[in-house]
Amino acid sequence: MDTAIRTERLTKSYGRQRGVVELDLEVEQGEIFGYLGPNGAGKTTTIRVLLDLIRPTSGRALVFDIETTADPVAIHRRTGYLPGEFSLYDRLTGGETIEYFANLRGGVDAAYQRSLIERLDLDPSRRYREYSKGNKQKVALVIAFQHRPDLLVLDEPTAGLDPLVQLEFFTWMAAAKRDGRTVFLSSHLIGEVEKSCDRVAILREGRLVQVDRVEALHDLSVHQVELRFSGPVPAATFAAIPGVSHLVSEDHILRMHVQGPIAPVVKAAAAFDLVDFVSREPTLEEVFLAQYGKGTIDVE
Amino acid sequence: MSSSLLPLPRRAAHRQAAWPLHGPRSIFTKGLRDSRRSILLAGLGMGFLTLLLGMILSLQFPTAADRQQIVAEMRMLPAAISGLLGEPINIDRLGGFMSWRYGNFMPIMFGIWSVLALSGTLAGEARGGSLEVLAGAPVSRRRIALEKIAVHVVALVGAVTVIALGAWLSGQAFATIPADAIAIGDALAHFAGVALFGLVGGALAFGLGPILGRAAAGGIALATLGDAPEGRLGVGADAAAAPLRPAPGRRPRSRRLPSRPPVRCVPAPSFHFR
Repeated sequence: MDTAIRTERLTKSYGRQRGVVELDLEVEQGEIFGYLGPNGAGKTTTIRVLLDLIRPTSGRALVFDIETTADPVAIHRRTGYLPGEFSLYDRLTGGETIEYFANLRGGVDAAYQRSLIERLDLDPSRRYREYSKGNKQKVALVIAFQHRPDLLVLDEPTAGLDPLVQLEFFTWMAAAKRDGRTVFLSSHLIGEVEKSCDRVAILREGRLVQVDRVEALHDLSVHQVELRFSGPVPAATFAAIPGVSHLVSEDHILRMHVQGPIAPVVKAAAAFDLVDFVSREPTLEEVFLAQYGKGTIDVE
Repeated sequence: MSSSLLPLPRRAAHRQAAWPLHGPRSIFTKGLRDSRRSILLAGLGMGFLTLLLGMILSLQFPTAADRQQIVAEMRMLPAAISGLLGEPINIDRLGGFMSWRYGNFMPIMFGIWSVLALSGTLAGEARGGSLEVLAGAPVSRRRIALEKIAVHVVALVGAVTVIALGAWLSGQAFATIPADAIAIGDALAHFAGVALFGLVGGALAFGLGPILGRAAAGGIALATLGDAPEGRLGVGADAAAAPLRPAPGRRPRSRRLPSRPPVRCVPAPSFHFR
């Protein structure tokens, strides 16, 4: 299979500040590739290098076998880009903004463009400054998708979108994959990547720590559970449940990490006089810290 | 009643009106659209000023003798004051008077306009975040920069044309001595030169804007305007021989000049730096 994105020992630093460090990455054409990492890990830096919005300090990046610094316009022609942080033109309406970017591409399929706008339930007649954050995100999504690009580079695409629109967005990505197009999805949300991607790369402090099938994420999905009972309970009952770890017993309270399905823990707790149940999905930073510690991890 | 006869809800009707979508066709046309108000205001404002100056001179100093009186008064001013006002060259004729009154501030005005327009055009987009989306479009950086500069150049050309027309019209309408007439070509060349100066500061602000931010780049560029050239309308290279030549085919207005010797004009280069 051909490669859509390839980086070779790609390094970008901002003076003494670290951006990304010796990144070796390959994204095949036709796959949805998740790019996961906590805020500040270097995801946006990678994307900006791929689109030649910034230049690498060393190493190189290729998109469709074109070196990013050699012919960025040829890359942009085949790419749809949704930045993580952006703003558009307050004086233009949403429709004018969408059509402006369509015109910069020499025009797009008007029927397809209209269908995208309608599926997002976006009112194109309103001025951009009047839109809510979610509607602004919709405008940018249409701009990224409207020319049916071979590669979609999406940086935190669901930010500000309501759940229904997020569902619609995931169908767009699935459709893109069916058409043989490639999606490079940068996110800090495990759930978002888990439900839509084929493979995932995990980035931490500018370095790749893991590149694997998305199923590997399940190992990272750990819930922090706190059970409060009216009286003492045998901790061993819970320690024996598969997936339970870091079990701590304090008075009538049990705290634990649960990896995988949480139902066995709930069933076990129901056998006692349960007063309160708290389950929290840890942040990506907490997961990474628990999984990888602070040390540098070799790329698989 | 058939449902097809019911009017669309207001919001839905508004949405329908948005189709087909219309948007700017290029970075250049979008820039023109964004700047149309400032182009119109700058052009008409400064054009009106030129007309006003012509009217003031013709009303207050209609004769060559009156004009000589201004020249004499200006020569008597202390050097510090006359330096502040600018060197009074050929102020006994409309073109020279206009340049003298304009000479001090018009290059600065063009400079400030250019600095504000060009420092904001890229730095503003970078700060706002739209440059990130624009730079992702299949348009080279060079083209983005050139189209944005082209917008301002067109704006300057428009403003220069309106101001030059104002100066020419002023000469047509308010001339009271033969040398008051202003050739349109001279006026265009003069104001184009002034505008070009403004473009120097603007270019500096444009280049530094995305790196230093709009405020810092604008500040540096504005500091360069301190050396503004002082233009003199109608006193070009050939002006020494034919000071403030009347426009071709133009007959001076019928106001009779007093039977005095013709006004002696001070030749000067078209632009000189203080």
